[in-house]
Amino acid sequence: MCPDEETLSAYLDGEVEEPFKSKIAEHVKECVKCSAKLESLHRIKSILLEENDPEYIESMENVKRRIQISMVADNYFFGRLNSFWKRKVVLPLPIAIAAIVLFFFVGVFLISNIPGNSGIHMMRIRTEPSGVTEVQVTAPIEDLEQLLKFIDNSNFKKEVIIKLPAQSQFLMFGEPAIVKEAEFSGVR
Amino acid sequence: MLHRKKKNENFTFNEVYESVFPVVFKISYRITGDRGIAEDLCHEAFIKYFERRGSFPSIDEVKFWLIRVIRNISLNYEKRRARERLAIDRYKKVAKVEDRGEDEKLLLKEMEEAIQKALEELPYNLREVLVLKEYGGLSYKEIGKVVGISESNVKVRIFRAREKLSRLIKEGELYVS
Repeated sequence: MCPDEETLSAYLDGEVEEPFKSKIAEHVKECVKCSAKLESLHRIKSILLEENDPEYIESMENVKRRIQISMVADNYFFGRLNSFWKRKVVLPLPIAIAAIVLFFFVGVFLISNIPGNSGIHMMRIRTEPSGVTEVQVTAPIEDLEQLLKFIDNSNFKKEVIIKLPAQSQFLMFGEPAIVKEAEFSGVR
Repeated sequence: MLHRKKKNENFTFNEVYESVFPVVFKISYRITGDRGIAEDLCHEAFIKYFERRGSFPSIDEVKFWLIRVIRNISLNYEKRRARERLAIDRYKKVAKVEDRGEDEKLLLKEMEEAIQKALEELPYNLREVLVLKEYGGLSYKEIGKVVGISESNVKVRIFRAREKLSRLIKEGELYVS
């Protein structure tokens, strides 16, 4: 029985394995039809293979030059920059976990130390032998308004001394006005 | 830059280029039928490889990968150009009838061109397998991997490509004589 034409074509390409390969070889010797078909397929294969290869030496040089230019243009500068950011850093898992935990605690510590709105930052309480309790509060100049509000809320029942920093610069602000002393002494 | 080895590879870009360029170029040229286009597409393929260096264990693997890339981009190019070409070919056929017999010295060259032209007239699915077989030197199994079809399908397509090419060349011979 004749093999199908696809198999004959595959046989020509050496793609048929034993024992079929030997059987086809035997068959082709005797069968005129298959022999003619194989010959016709072989002719087409030869035509393609005999055709002159395109001259590639010049193209090879052309393309190489273009590749070099592309590399200099794109990769030499940006490629290096990209490779820095894409560089993989391998850390052992325990160190990575420790770094995350440390990062978390440092973050919490820093957040908890951001100045709040209380206006009171450093407070020192000292009790004199006479029984008088002295409270020293240090507040930044920006919180002066809040400090005044705090004093106001205490209904002036406390003796308050406000010490300004040794070196202070005062700027004129608003219109000059005569203010009653009474307003400072809390008498309304 | 081209002579430096990548960390995971024991070959340079230049070595790959020297050994793989001829086959990659041939495949592209046989699919597109145009030297300039084949150069453009080879340039594109090798730049793609340059960006992926370090992920291939051997030059053979690179070659196989590059053949796949060049096949894809060459076919994509051909498909894009197909419509324009149809119009140009219609014009050429009319012009050729008028010129016939006038330049017999170029007969051999014309025959060569006719073969390339016949190859270009094959449908894409038949052209690519035949080019990969005859000019890429790939086995049926490798062609199946590149194209994404079974080995038996490769066998059928190669046979059909040969049959159709044979018909086209015969028609061309009749036409030339």
